[in-house]
Amino acid sequence: MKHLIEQQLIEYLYELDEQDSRIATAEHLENCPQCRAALEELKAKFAQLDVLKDDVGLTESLIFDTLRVLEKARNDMKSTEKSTFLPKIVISVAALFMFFVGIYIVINQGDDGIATDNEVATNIPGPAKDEVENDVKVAEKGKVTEPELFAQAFDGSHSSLGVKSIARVQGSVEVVPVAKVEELLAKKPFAPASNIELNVLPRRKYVQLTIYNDADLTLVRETRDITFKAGWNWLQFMWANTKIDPTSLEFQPLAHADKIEVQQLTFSPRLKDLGRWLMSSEVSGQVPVEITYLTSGLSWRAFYTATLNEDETKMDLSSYVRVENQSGETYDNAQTRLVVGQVNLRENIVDLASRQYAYGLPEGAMIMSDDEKRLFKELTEYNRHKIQAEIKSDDYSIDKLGIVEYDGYDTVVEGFMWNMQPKKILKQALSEYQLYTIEGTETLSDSWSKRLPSFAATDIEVESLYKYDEDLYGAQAVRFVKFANDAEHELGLTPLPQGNIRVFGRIDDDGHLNYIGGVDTKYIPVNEEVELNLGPATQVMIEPKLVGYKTDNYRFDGNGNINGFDEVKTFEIEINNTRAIAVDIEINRNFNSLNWDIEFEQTDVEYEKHDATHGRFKLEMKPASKRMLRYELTVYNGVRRDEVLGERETDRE
Amino acid sequence: MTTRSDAELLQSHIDGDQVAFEQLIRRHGPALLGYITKMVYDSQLAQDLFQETFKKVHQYANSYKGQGKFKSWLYSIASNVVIDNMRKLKRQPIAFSLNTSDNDGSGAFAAIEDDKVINPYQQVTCDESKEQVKVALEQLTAQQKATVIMAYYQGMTYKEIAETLNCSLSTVKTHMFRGLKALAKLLPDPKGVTE
Repeated sequence: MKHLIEQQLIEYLYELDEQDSRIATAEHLENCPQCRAALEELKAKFAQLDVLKDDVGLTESLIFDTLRVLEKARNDMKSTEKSTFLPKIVISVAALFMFFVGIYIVINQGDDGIATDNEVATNIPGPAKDEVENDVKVAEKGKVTEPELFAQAFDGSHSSLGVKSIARVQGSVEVVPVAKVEELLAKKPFAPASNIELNVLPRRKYVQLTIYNDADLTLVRETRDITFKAGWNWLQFMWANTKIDPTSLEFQPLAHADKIEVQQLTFSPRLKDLGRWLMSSEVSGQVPVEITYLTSGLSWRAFYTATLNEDETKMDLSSYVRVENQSGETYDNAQTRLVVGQVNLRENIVDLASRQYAYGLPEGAMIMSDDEKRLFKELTEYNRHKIQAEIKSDDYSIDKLGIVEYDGYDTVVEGFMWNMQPKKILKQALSEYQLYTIEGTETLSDSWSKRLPSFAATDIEVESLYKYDEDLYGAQAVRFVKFANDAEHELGLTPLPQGNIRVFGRIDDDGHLNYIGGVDTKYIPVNEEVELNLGPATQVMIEPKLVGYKTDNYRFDGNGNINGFDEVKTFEIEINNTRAIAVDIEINRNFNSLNWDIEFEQTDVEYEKHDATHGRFKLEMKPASKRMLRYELTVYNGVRRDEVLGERETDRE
Repeated sequence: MTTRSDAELLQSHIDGDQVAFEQLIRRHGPALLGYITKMVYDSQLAQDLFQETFKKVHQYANSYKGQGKFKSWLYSIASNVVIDNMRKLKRQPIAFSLNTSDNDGSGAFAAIEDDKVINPYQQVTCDESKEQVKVALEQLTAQQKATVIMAYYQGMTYKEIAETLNCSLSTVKTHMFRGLKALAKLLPDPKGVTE
């Protein structure tokens, strides 16, 4: 018996052979165990190919990407049509010209040789005319197509937070009958189909930024009009090249809230910086919605300019804030609010924004700390009712918002910025945070900073104070300007945020100024005294000298050794005020002992024991004056400490 | 609701129906992606070529007259896209990615993490087998490989393959036979550890 060769087996196995040979092979296999074994071996060998079966799966993101490529191709085709529009017109005109020439020749060859304009016109073939018109329509349509606009948004050129919706119905809102909605919602929601079905939405209608000063944290609340259709809707947003924290995104309809429900928020694993809300809607039409999220990259800092009068008894204080935007996103016409307070951030928002996956933390890990959540909630809820009230009045102008009803510097804030009046910064207490609201709206462009005036107060009573404290400032006097953030000093309506203060002095009646000094200040609560350190003094000199030293009251033990004595030191402090104004002087002396007494007899100088080891002298120096302070310090050593302590207790009894 | 045919969906897409094309992708995408992936052995490249294929489907949608099966037309486009890409790659130097983890055992770790297999050894063995099959398929000519993949993995008939590759039935059978014959030599003997 002749056995089957491999070629026959393969052909039989995969039905590559002809019918006749196939029958013959089958008969042979039936009677030949050796060939059957060879066939089984071949089957087993080819069965190894099965390891590649079911190896790949089609992901939603790939479908999305494919549809995006398709949309791009579609736009490219439209651009091509647009670019070929002109040649088409040329060809059409040329065709018409040739047609006229032909008609002219025909007419001239006719009997009468005369044709009216109308007759010629009616001879123009209709389709050719239509073609031209159609070309124009296509070209115009291609000029500003929605997908092109949408592609801009997708690329981030329109808005980094490119919110898109599949909804298309425009106009007033229509409540769709329940039965119809149920029917629509019964259908499985289709996957978001990229740009093909997405419209670019109107720009932000209203945006509010609440910038937290001490943390790299800003709450953004924006209102947009989104057009919904009844049934399922996809809303897509992206945060590419921004520092937006996608995990903080919230979406809330400001109207028909009971008829629009967010079903899910998804972040595609392959598509970075992009998320989608799936929503069911019982209405079709335009609905204002509020989108809130946290971002980093926005910061603000307060700056103060203080101008002292000539005798340095009063000061004008003006303040401005500089808002810096490094968030990657431009916020046009944003209402800007500044918060002072402490928030414990568990993670930096910028880290949250830049990570690969929106929810990349280990399972169960919370994104926000309690403080963060509390702040977010407070800030989010803060003006919502006011915004909603505003929506009802169908007017989004900022100056009508209730935010300006505050207990601050100006109880009535008039107008917008268009009149170029300096803006006011309104202040409000918000829980333990202080909220400063910049009047009107501001455009905060990415990578730009902007300076805005905050407040100005005049004739604040101040004291010029010179301090001498070797422990703190070394052997030199240091100059301070002292005032309080209270009503008595024309301040005290709000805390003053931390910032930088520059102090100038007037040197003549013409208002010329000289720079005295600058200092960074901390947050200044209401009714708190403020001392601005302006640096070492040059016109007020304070010089302590040890002019006498002796020991006294020696005590001896049973062996005749000294076990106690007093040190008596005499100091003179020379104070020289070369300035033409009276100044206050404060001198702190460290006695380097816990057991001491001081003898000081000058009644016009205030003395106090500041703490266990320090004494403090306070006096006022007249203009261009010099004087000497003299005091005697006795320090008790050894058993003298106990003796003096006993004497004092006896005196008290 | 009646299911629309491929031709109807394509026509709807041409007419501006914005969901028709997605339905086509969902209907044919999984198998097509499998075909392309087996042709090029690179999942990322396969995804790019997958997108390119559907882009061409969109571009040439008007040229499809419904005279043949849509599936054959689709695979014909995909085959051309893949073969064009192979030609381009032949003209380019081969680059190796340091991040490639095809045969570094990472599949075993991933499988452990995914809880798909109980035995990591099993997974490693599976990885090796896949690699052997991939290497074997790589030795075939483009036509042989396309034919074997379409017939073996995609379950297409020889007639459909002939339509797709725009050749005669006998040519397809010849490609198939030669491909299988080569594989019979290239694939290792089926022995080793079994459970």
